[in-house]
Amino acid sequence: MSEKDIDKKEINNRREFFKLLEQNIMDTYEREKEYQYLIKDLNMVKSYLVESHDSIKRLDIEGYDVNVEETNDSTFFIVKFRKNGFENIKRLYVDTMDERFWTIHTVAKSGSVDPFINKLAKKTLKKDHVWFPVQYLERFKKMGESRSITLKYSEILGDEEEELISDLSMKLWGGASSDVYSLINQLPELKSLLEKTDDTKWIDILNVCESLSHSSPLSGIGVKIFADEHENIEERNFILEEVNYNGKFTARGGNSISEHLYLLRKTKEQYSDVIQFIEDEISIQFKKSSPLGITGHPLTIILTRPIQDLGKFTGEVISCKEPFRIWGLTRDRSEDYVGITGVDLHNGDKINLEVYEDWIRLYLPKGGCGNTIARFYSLIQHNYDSNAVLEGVEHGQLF
Amino acid sequence: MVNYSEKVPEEKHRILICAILGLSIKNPGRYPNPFFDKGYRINVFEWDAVTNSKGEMVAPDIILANEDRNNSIIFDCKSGKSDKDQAERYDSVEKEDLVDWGISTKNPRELTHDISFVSSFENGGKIRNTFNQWPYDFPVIQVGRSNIEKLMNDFKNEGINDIFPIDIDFKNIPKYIYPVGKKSPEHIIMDEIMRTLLHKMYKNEKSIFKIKIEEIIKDVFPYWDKIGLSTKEKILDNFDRVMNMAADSGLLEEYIDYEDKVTVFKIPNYQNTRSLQSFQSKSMKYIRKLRKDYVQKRLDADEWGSVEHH
Repeated sequence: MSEKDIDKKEINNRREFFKLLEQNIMDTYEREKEYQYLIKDLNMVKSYLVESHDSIKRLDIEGYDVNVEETNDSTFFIVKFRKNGFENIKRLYVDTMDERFWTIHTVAKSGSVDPFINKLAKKTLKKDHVWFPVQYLERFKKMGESRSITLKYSEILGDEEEELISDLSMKLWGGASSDVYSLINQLPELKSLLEKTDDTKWIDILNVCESLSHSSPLSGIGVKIFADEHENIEERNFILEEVNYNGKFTARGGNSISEHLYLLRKTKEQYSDVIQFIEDEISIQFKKSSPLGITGHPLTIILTRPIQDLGKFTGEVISCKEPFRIWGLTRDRSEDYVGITGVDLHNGDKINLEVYEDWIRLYLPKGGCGNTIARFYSLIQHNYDSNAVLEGVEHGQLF
Repeated sequence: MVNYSEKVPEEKHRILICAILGLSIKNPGRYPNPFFDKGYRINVFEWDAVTNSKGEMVAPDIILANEDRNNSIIFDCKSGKSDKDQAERYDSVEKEDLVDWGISTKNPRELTHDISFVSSFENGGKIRNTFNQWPYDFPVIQVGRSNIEKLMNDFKNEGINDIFPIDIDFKNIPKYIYPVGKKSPEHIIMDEIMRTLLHKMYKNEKSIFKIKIEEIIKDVFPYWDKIGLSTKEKILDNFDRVMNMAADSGLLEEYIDYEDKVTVFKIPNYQNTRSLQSFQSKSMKYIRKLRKDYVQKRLDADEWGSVEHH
């Protein structure tokens, strides 16, 4: 079914929408089986999790004509958009059942939809991506058979003199892709073992190895998820899912749209629980009842790559620019400490930071958005130290 | 290394409060929290004055309570001179007072308490000498560069004495756990005001809006309703003075107009990166100036000279 055929379909409720996705994914599956490869013209089902603190009816994206249409379901909308100066209209199906975390589905091409979603999440006030830090993304591996991993890194916070890898983009396919990723993660360990041999010829290579380890955040993961437990593995329904750290889910093949939707729902619920936990239990709050007390506590990001120049590092973080989009005032500054009174420009929420040579303390005041923590942590991993770890929860991990 | 001598006494007071609060919260981050581990929780901090058994006023900075042990610790942070009259008022605090104040306990009849004075490493010696001349047995603790130690006297609860000295790194005190106090100096107040104005602008989604000074203060102090009237007045006067100074400075006139306790705040094109950067850099410049002026003023004062030598 081509994009134009899909656009002709009238969708008035979730049932009709489900049928549309099911038909689309089965078409892809049958043709893939027939031709043994993915056909470029086929439109894969893609879904995006997006955070919103605003009504969909106010959706307005600079540079686009946007039209929000209601359906018979008050929580399900069709958004049609067209880039200014272009004729093609693209269609999104937006599930706002969860008022805060929307699920946006489409069968339109990524080339048109990704820039729109990015603009929606990054440039529109009160909207944001969801952010899956490396450790969170690794959970998807356990859901089925690992098929691919994507590593993506862009250096924006390091000192130019020490910068060894400025940009990295790598995709590995196959069952061993996870093993390669583990190997990259273990490079610092390898370096410290080899350093003990005093063999200087390895030093340059090892430095690059270590740099690679800091610059290889898991950014996407491909996994084959089975929908049932049929005895014969060939008979099982399945979905080939690719999940990226910004909350984009692509159904790259398979025959179970239910599994795609189930994965989205479960992920959204779990992520939403984490964000809510940050806001309820971790944000710094003053008890309203008498006597006056404080609850909550800061969170800590432990860096494995020391910051060489704190002034430059924090200057970039509070530059108001992408990707951090934090406005801030340097309250206190010394050689080994910078305190920042900040505002998250995604939503106007307050955030305070204390940055040290090898760790960062984050304070989320009451009313702040928990997603700010997930974003900041992910951005540190994708732009400075992919081995950074968030600490501060008594039992288990937040992400 | 954060240098106390660069800070004004008012800021020193807030940092001492943060040093104790940090010991009492979950995950202060590379800072120990033995009070939290021992079951103590923050019950009160920088409260308004409350009455002791003689009907006199005391104003504790922090009260920690351990419900299971029925024990509370009252801390008063000393950034300046000690006051015998104040010590005497604290000496008259009885468990019934704490029960009246609403301190957490499972058994009010069995409630025990300690009163402890907290000094910085710059005035610890002076405070110890002073307290040695007085007939009170309050434990005095000192926040130093690398540890927090008990300078004199014991806590009644033995388990508390065991935790001292507590190794710390002074720069790791979680200073934003209590980002602004009722005695904070102008540059800290201004830093909070500017941030709050931008926060409000994003929430209102307007590039120009009017806001009363009290509304700004309520945002800076979320527990405003809990603060006593006299303290409220002092804070209001302080914020009003700081805003008048900002409006008269000529450095922020494109953003702030302030008259009769009402601010008109504007940033044309407020979602534009350059507009925000410009607002940021001008705010920073003004706050740096405030800080410099204030420190200089303190260095010029005789009192500061004597404090610095300790």
